[in-house]
Amino acid sequence: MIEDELLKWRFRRGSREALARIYGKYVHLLLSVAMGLLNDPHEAEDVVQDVFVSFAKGAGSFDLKGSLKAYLATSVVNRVRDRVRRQHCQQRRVDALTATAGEPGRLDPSLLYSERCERLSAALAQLPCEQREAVVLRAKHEMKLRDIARLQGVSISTAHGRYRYGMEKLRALLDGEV
Amino acid sequence: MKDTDEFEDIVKRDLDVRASDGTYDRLWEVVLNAYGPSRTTESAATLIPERRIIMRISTIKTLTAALIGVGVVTAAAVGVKYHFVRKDPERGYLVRSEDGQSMMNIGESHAASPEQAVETAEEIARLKQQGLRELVGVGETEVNGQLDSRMLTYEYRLSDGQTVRVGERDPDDNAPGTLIGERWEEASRLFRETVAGCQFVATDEGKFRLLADGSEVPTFERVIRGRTFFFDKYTFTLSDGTQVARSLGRLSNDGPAINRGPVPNDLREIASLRQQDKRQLIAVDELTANGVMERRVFVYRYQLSDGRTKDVREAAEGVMPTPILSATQRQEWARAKEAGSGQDLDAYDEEVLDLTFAFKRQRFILTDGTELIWSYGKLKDAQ
Repeated sequence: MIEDELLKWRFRRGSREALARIYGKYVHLLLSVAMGLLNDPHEAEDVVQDVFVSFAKGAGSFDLKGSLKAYLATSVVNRVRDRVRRQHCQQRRVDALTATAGEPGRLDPSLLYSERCERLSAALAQLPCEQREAVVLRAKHEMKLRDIARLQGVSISTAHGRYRYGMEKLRALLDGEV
Repeated sequence: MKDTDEFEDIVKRDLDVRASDGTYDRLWEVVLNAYGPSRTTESAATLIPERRIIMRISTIKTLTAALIGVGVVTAAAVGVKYHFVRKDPERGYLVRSEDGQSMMNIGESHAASPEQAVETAEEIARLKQQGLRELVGVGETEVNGQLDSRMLTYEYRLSDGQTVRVGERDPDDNAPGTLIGERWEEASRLFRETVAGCQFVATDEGKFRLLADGSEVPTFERVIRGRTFFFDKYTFTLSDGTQVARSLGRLSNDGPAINRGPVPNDLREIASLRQQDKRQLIAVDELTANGVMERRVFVYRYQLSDGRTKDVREAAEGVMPTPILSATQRQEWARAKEAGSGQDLDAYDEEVLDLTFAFKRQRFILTDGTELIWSYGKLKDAQ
């Protein structure tokens, strides 16, 4: 946390090294979050690229009071939502699952992930979007339920419910496979 | 069955994606490129004229975006090939016709790659050439009382079923188009602020948008290209003293009727009571589409001076999310709701603004697979 505060301070003052450190520190985590939300490595890569590009572009007016890690995750979620808004989510999910089933052992050359990750991502794709967000942000990104609730515009109890239901459903989908 | 903590650890461990070295470096290069130019500011006058494509957003949003995005636009070249120019993180793919006369921004909603963006642009151009489009919105800008430009928004249905809306300058407006560059940017900003400052009041008597001071938004009707449009007009003054008016026209069947006829006196009183925060929150109405908030509405009860009460639906915290559902999807949901075909989900209590509401939830699946969750919470003490 202290390091992040220092990075924010240096980034605000135009430090390219701070940007490099932020990128190096969070790019893999954000890729994982984006993959968990999208179940599509290409889209995940695009989203994370957009997040960092916007972040870099906004250096001149950067004035973040809160957590850098939460801010970046929120940026990923917002971009994912933009994509979901623009797509027939259900259809995409079917397409993604079909593609996975038809190409066993598929490994995208630009991103590296295990088969277990692929299975998990495909199972996450079967959850309703709101539960998927809660599960990925809480379990992978370790975001506080309070922050998830704020991001989703719901109460903490609702966010907790989404997380719990999502985890239960995910566990049912994957039990025996992991 | 693994316990929750253990399973949480599994998710944390297994959901792990890493960029290959090449990807890591390539992404970093893109980020660095973005970092450099951010220190300079481009004025709108130096930007390439371009049109924007917006899908499934309200007419007002469409027109706003179109007005912002199209400072100077030429008629689209049709029957020509397009090629990819560059990708903008916010606007999507910029493509240009081979003759250089037409440029489009294809949002990522319509294209996942430069190749798809080119295909989409060429399909739109073909549809335009064949006249397969529908005029759905009009935006007019007046400068010191004279028409300066008129923007037309056309809807196209692509072969994959998507509906896109494209804004373009009316080639027949015979208007000078003097508002460009930084003045256009300033006008766009003031317009957005004016619209954002409006109050929206909806009751059984209708839906009305009032200006920040509670006065009416001027409205008028006009026939454009054989179709009747209802316009809302917003006026503001640029820093150099120029008077600018922007009017947004929507079709009568496109979205809810707003500002039709004079604003009832009750609503003026409601606007005043609202400014004084003399109202009671009695219900919360939420709708999510595929997990994304489509709307969140608070229902307030106002006590009028003559003793009557009025229940008014208002955007929660004054902000309505950008609509996701199309008019067709909204209609389908309304029919399903009326028919009572939703699947009941667990009821729950939730605190909103320090009050406890008892929520009922229903799940609807539209024919295109969209999952809607409708939650309606009533104030618990009032039940």
